[in-house]
Amino acid sequence: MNGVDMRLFQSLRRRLLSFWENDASNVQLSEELQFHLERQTEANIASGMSPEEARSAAKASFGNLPTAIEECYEARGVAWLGDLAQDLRYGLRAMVKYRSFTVVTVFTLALGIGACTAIFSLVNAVLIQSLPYGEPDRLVYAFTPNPLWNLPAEVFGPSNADFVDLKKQSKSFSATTLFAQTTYNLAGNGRAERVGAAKVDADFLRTLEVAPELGRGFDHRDEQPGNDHVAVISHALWLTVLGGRADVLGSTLSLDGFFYQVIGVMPEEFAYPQKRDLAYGNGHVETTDVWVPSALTPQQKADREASNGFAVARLRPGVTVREAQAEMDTIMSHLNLLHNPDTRGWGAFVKPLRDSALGQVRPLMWLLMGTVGFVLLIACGNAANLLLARAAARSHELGVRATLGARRSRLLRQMLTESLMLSAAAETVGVGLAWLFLHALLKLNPGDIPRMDDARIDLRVMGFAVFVTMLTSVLFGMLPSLSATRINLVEFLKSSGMRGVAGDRKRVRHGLAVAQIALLVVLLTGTGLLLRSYANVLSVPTGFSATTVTASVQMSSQYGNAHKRRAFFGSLIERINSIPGVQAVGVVNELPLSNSETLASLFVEGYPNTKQQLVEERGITQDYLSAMQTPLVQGRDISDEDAAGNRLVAVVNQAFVKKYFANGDAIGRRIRTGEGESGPWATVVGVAKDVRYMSLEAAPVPQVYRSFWQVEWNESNIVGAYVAVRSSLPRDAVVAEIRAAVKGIDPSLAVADVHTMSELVSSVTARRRFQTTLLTVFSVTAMLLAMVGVYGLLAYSVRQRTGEIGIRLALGSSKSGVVRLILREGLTLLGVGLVIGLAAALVCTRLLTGFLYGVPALDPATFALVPMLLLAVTIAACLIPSFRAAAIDPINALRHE
Amino acid sequence: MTKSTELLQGTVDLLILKVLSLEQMHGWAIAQRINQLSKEVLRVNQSALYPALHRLEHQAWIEAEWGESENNRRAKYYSLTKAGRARLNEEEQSWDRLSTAVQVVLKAV
Repeated sequence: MNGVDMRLFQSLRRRLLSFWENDASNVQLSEELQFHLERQTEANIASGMSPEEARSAAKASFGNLPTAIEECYEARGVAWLGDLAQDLRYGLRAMVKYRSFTVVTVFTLALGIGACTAIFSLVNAVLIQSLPYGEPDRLVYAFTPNPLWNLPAEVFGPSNADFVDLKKQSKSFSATTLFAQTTYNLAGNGRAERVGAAKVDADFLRTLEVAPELGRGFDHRDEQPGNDHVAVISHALWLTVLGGRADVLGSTLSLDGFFYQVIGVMPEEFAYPQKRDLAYGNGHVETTDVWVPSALTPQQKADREASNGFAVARLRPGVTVREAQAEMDTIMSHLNLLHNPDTRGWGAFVKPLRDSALGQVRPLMWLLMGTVGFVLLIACGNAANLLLARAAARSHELGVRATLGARRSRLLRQMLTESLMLSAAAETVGVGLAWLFLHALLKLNPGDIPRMDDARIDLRVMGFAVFVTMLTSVLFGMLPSLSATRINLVEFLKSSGMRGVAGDRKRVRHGLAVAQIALLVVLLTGTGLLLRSYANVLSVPTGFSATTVTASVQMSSQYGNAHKRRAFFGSLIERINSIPGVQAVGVVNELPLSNSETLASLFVEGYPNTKQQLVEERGITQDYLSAMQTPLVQGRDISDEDAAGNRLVAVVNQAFVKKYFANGDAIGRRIRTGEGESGPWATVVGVAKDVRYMSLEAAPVPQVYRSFWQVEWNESNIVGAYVAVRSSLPRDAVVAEIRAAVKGIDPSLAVADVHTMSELVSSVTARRRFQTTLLTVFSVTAMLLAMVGVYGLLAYSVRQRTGEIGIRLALGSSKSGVVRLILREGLTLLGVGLVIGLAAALVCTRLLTGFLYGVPALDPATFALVPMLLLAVTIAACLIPSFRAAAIDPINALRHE
Repeated sequence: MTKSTELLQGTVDLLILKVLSLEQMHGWAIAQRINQLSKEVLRVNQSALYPALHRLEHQAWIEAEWGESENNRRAKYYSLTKAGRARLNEEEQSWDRLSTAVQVVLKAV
């Protein structure tokens, strides 16, 4: 430490010491001065004075003793600390004395701070805390979109050959990896279980910069076909299936009937790729529990067209996403020419991993933060109004202090200390509330917000709470403090010290109430729009029955040819059909709302077909539509007669008819799917009602149902199907029957994705339910706060105007006239607040467009309902003060004055 | 009594530091010594002396400890710190500059 620092430190230490030892050092000071006096007296006596003379001469030579003591005290630099202690003591006394004021203010602010803190802890977990990979901000996806198909760019992972060339030619990336998603039937412990898996190359873990917690990752030897029956497993799988044994390395897993040797276990938080990581990933994979080598053969590596994987790359230090994009554009423009001339158009799209995982939830997080910000502002408005009312009540005290010479800065400091104390108390309560809010929030977890369960009240959240508290105390404390300490001494003394000057304070208070109402209008309008959207979503006709039970069975590699698969599903349907109580059983390859999709190229006879025209294709069995209670509107259903080898048939949905058969009947028309222009024709035999497929909120798109038995399953791709059962049995009984039936045919196959259709509907509306619930709760809270504010303001105003009202009553005004007087005051506030609020809402609700469904941002009904609701609650808030005003006894009122 | 001169605050600080540079002293002795050394021309008012002492102590230029006085009483003795000695050096130089400058002006006009 250098000299200056040392001095500063010692000075600070002395300051604190002399502050704490204030009394002791005062004693020392007086002892020191006493010694001086006595020594001077002795000296005077020695020079020949009498003892009395000596003493008074000594005293005279000393000068002003109290001033000297005071100056010594100030010289020690502890005055401001003393002031602070005084302010704190005084503030504490005031808080205890005005107990109800303190409780209301603290609770109001605590609600605001608690809501903000809880939502921030969510934002912290979801947006701020880092992903469990090394330097996640440098990780990007590399897609190779092709506009020919008119599909989102994130559908297109690079083909194997494109990936190999990209890896060779690009200089932007320090590591790249290609992986594909799949699922396996994991057999063991007498039952089969479905696990999400990824087939990865040797660079997978190196690119993500994660290491196994046990064992090793893959290297190039594991990629050699023949050596590739090794697996890295997740921490969760290790614990649940392998019992967390320490000697897990070297043990074997049976995946789809093949044995894999476990060579590594990943750390607990690692389950990449998870469902939310890839917008168009495998819908069956919730989290990944098994990683195996992709072990591509040289032929596969040279395949330029087929693509069923995704590429992740790590940017070199200093390389931006934009630079990587530019480089990839150039490389792809060359690689494009190597593709089949019919499908050229391949480009590049580089997207940060973080954006991919969080892109959808980011607006929601901002919406929530904005909402609680509004709640906090309204709470601050309330607290400020309460403080202003109290400042008016204290104007006498402050006036007296100002008259006695207190400087304004001193009074201001005291007022701000008090508001800081209030908000500190509110913070303590608020953090407690935040903890409660957070627990309630986590119960509402819609399940599709990444890492929401990790939300905690941690150090960063506490720091945020402290920051919000400081901000709050300035927001609600500054205005009242400035207003209260603006004391006109002449006016104060003229009014014989009885009343403060209340004129401009009233304007400030009314301004605050108007601002609160305006904020509330914006909040309520937004919430109204979201509620309307939610109601719209819930009233969407799904096109299927809510009680149908569904489950998926994924084939293992033993079911290599279509015949074996058909045989399996044929006997499964037979077994379930024979169960008493079952009304209909059907099989489909892709279920609505299940996040997976099969697209086939489409050629419609007599229609101006475009190149690469795609259609959603389903393979269904005879009773599928009946099991789902999806009505046929025309023609006949797919039947068991439509077996392989018989005439190809198709059922289309209404959206298909609308688009492709706009003029004329659909039945009997011919279409070709999947085989381009050379394949066989299928005849349309029926039209089914539209079904909401990808989500409830997306309009139905054209779909083709074909006979499950006639679809030529692609060997590498189509590996399973859903069974749908409509019955009079309870859900769990049906599930047990399905499991038993599958086990009876092949015990190595797992039954997974078990849902009733209503559960699927509930899970796809969960996000909307979550945001709508939160916004509604916050808006109602804000409304209560604002109405408490209006009530408090009017109640105070009635007290202030007691004299005036007494005179009015004495002069013959009716009681209803008085009620009208107070109501008018309240409704004027409301009117001004409404005008400002609605104007603001017109602008703000545009920001909400992305959250709305079936409601325009300027929905007239919402914009009409909000003012009506506010009118009702404002009148309710005005009633008590109005009746209290009407009940004033003129005689008492005049005496009061 | 001899005619004495009121002292400016800064000058009191300088004199206190100078007097304490020889040995540690209590407040009364400091006042006496200044009076004595200035041939009874400079008188330090006690109501200025003690605030000055406390200020200098607060700035860590002097430090204090309680000790036994010449008449066997408890008295607070002040002594110069290392920082105080450096400070004295600075103050002396600047005083020299000031007084020389004032002398030059007075002589010149």
